[in-house]
Amino acid sequence: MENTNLSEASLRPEEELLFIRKIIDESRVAFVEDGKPYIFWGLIVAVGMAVTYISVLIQRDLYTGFVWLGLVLLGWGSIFYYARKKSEQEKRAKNFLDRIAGAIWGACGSTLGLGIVLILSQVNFSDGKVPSIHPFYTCFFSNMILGIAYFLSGIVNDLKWFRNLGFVWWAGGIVMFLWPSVHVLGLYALMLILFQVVPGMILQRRYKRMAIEA
Amino acid sequence: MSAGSFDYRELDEVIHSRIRLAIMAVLISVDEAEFTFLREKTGATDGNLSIHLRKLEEAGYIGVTKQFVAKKPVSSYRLTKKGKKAFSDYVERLGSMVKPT
Repeated sequence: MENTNLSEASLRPEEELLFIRKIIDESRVAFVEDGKPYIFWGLIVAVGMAVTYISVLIQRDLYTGFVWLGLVLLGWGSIFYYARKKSEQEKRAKNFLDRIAGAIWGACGSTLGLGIVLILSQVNFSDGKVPSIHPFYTCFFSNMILGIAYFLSGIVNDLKWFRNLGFVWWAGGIVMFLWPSVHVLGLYALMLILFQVVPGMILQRRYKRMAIEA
Repeated sequence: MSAGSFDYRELDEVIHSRIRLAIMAVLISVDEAEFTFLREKTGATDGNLSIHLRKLEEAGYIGVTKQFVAKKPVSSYRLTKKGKKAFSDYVERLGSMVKPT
């Protein structure tokens, strides 16, 4: 059997501390955000929004309904596959902060989905009448919820820049609330690319770097 | 005493083993871990890991939950309050042994 004792001859205190640090870092990598869901959903919703925006601008239906249906199915399919893969790791080890981060996005995502469905249910698309809640406010509503999700996730993951993205989303939401127009759709698509897809890519680079270092 | 020649007898001998130290370090970074996760992170063999886990369990440093998942036995380990304190004291003791150069 191998000698597992850490004796005076085998490791000095500095080396032993480094050994502990290495093991902790390796174990934590399993719970570091890899950014993939941000990139998936950011791209999917941005494409859908851009198509809707162009469709409204040129006043021609670009099969917006089908585009959204396809994108949402693709998004959920990818997320389902990703969650299944990730849960293999999660099943073997549990981390409280990771569960909190998951709960934040789960709660915010459900609120977002439900809110958008409720707002859009007010719209009668066939007669084109503007309802009491204008559909443009879905973007304002999304921004506010995303602001909460980014702010809390940033705190839980101890990422100040990520937490600050919450302020950016809230600021965007205020702009959309004060100046509701067709352009909020374009603005929302742009914000998704800049403040969801790009941060997702930054998280992915960070994850890869940490995995290599560990 | 220099940093290169410390008296390791001052350290907690239950933790002062490469695999047991690795197990403690893994468990301090997660809430709970299965046997297979610990095996992967420590690089120990099944038999070796079992022996060291039992030692830590006997010392009251770790707790184990055994259950059946999809008809397979699964053991999950977590640090106890006593284990967290012992690990913290151990790291603190090591830190105090490191002299600034």
